[in-house]
Amino acid sequence: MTSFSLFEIFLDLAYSWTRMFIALLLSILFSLTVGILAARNKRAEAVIVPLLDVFQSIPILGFFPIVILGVIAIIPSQVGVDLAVILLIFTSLAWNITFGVYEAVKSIPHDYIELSLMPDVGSWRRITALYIPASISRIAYNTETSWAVGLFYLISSEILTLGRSSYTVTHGIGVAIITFASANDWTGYTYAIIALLTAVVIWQFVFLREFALWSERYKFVEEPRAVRQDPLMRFYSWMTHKSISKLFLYTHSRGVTKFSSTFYRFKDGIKYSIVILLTIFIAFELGASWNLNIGFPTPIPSIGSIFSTEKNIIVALAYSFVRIWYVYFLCVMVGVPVGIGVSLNSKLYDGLTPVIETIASVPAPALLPAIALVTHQGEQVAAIIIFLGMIWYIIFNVMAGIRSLPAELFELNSVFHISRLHAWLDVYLPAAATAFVSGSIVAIGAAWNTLIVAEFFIVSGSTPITQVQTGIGKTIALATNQGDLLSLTLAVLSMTALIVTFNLVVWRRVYHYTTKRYAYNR
Amino acid sequence: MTVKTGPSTETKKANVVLTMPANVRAGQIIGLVEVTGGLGSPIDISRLADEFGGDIARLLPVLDTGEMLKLVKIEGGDVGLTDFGLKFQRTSKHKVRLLKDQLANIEPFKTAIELVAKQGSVSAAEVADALIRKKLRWHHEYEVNQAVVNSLLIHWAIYAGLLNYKSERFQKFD
Amino acid sequence: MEVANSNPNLIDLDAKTDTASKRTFQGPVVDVERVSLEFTKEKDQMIVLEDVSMAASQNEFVSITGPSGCGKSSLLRIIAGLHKATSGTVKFKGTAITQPRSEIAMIFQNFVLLPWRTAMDNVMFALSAKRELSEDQKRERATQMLDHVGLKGFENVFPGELSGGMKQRVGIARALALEPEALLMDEPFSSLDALTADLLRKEVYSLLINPSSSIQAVIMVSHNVEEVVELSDKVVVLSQRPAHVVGEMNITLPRPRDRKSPEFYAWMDKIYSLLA
Repeated sequence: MTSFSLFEIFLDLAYSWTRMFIALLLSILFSLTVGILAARNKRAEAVIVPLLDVFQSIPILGFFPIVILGVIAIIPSQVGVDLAVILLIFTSLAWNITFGVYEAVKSIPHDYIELSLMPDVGSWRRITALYIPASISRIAYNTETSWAVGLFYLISSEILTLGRSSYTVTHGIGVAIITFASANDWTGYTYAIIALLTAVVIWQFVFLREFALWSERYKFVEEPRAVRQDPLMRFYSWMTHKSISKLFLYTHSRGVTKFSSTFYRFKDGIKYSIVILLTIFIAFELGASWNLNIGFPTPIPSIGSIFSTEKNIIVALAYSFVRIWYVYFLCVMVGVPVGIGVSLNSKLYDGLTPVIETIASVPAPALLPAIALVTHQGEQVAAIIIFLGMIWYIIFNVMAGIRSLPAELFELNSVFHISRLHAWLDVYLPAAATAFVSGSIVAIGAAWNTLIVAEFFIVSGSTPITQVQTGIGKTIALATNQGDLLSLTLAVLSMTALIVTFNLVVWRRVYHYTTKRYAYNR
Repeated sequence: MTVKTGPSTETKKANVVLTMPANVRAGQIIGLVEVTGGLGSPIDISRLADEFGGDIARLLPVLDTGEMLKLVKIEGGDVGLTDFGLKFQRTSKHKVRLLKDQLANIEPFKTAIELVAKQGSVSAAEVADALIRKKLRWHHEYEVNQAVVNSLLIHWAIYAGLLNYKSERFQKFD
Repeated sequence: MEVANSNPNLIDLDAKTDTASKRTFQGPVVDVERVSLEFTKEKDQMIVLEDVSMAASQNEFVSITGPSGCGKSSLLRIIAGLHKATSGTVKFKGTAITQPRSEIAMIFQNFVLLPWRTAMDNVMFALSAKRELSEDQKRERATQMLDHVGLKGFENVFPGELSGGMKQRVGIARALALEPEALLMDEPFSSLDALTADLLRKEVYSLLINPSSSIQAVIMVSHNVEEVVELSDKVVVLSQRPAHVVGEMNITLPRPRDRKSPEFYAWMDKIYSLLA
């Protein structure tokens, strides 16, 4: 029975926030280096942009077990585990912020660039006097908006390390939450959750907002007609736009929908990107296999074992796929009407949005133990966690979509005395379509990530807190616990392959069709 | 690939292909005829440009198209209405329909009409593809080119009563 | 462009009332009496309109002009029944306007068409509330309206595929589908290029003065003084916020009006001096 003290919880928060902060600093450094390079060097751009793009679309959390194992192989100690967690948080922030820097530097007005290329201006000077200031605003904005995602990864990764026999994270708010729960200390658990919530809210106002406001002075050009949404709304609509992998993005301007896939635009750099990706992956694999004492270099597994393992994995994938999609439909049934309904009513909107924002800032995995307590059915727990992971993306995006429409579109309904039903069918639902699709794409992506925790969750010992019968998340978790690198690798790769293929084949077409047909352009 | 941004109107050449520029619209042609007629043709080009907000760059393709459609003639820096142009100006109902015969000889309308006669209905994509095979396109990017063809067909062919539009396909006008 | 004339096939929407009786009301078609509009935003009290009175009589084309942001569009929306005035009344043929009514139609600066519906569907949208009409009747009516605005053949085209001028014509067709008696226009030509706007102005005007048109009064909001002088019978000039009426004039130029004539310029000067 763990007795808690507020001080301990505060300490846990401090640890967690430090990890976040270090990850943020690393991300900013990374983004400045890589982003500026990509923006100013065509060849670097051709390699970097697709690379970042792929990173954005793969389910990072799935790779975490391999990452931990790999990192600990090099730095086998407490520090290693902490580094692994920081690395994971880094991956949730870095790509977005890097794209921000990239875009910011690319959009520096040409005269400034020419000025800076004068002979007596050294490169270092150029960087500090031009590129960095130009990027500050985007960095601040992207930080503000990706913080919640970073938190999700923080909590999830802290939780995931707990499942391992050796080397767990000692202090952290995720750790605290789960430790309390698994010890049945529900008071402690509640306090930990509240502490987390409070920290998030305070952080938002004390740091993130101020950071973003301070950085405004570095803007070159006034942003055209900023849609006055509150921060979380902007977060969700921005996040969606940025998270949709540019692998299949369509831009729609002046009646023309153009396929602007990064693969299409940076054909030459693709091969280098692939090489880099493979190298990174193999490095971690090697590290992991070393760690698991499988042998170094790894013995190549037999084709037979690959096939038999893969068969099970495909079954597991199928189960998870169905699971995600039926929960998705539930999310849609709830999220779309709520999103539209709240947006249409100003009073509801002003009143409910802060509430929803606060609830949404608690990462779903933190609530897992409480939910597992209420219902012991693994399927139900998984469904609820996945639902909570997806619903906010749907709701907020639909809300952002509706709020960004001009008032006149809604005035039409008054003018022509359109019935409630027809207003929803003919105006509101179609108007929300593009935002809904964007939100769905991100939601499904987030769902795959949540599976890792939702389908199988064990703290210590042999009894998991919750598990489903079959699922890829469970497969990955079990493989990690049992040190089965073959299963783990195949599972993660298969899942990634499924997600990327689905994105390219299905989402791309849906997104294309929706923006072409339903986007309201002035 | 020939990228055509303006009509080629050298009638001295035998096998000339007339093409509609990507961004000229019927309204501008109507305006051109109105203004030229209203100011008393022939009129100096720079004077005409003034009426159009001084933007000569935008006026020139409109002028070229006007010539191609045989509505105006340009001689020695002056723009004047042809007889056909005068008739056009005087017509109040269904003005653009008068241009039907001229347009039928201009791409992409010509190919579109041919394809409709052959297969009953045609999509903008099919017309664009057929024209690419004839080495004619309006933009180097495939999708933008298709969008331009679609735009031109909708704007001109339907307007002039050359083709009908239903379920995103073009058909015979009825 | 087609000018509407008595077409035996024209569906008579309101078989009970005839055009004659619609025109028997003696007073102004739209009467704005001492309208004020205020609202509080974050402890700031903003007075948008202050004691504005004006009227649009039978067969009158009235323009409301003023500096941008002065509240002309708000006034128009009050007349349309979309906003409520803080004080004062707006009457349509003697009856107070409290909500939008089918006799008063509106055309928007940004067209406001539903991009996911065809041109025909957009016009039919206006007829949604007319339950007494069958789908076929609505379709026929919509086709006729599109023909009247010169868009025959474009029934199945989506707004995204139309040019700006064509989009506004669909907007006009939609507005006219209910055979309104008053037409409100909010900067209807300012999103169009000069040439298209010019053409459309002429066409809209001829559409309105046609004897079989149901429209008895037009109120247009515009910041384009030239177009105001070209089209209007009466001009109401508003001041900066808080907007009140600084002047009202009846333009007596004979039609068709020559934009280059000295008289035309004189009228424009009059308005400009009030705006300053």
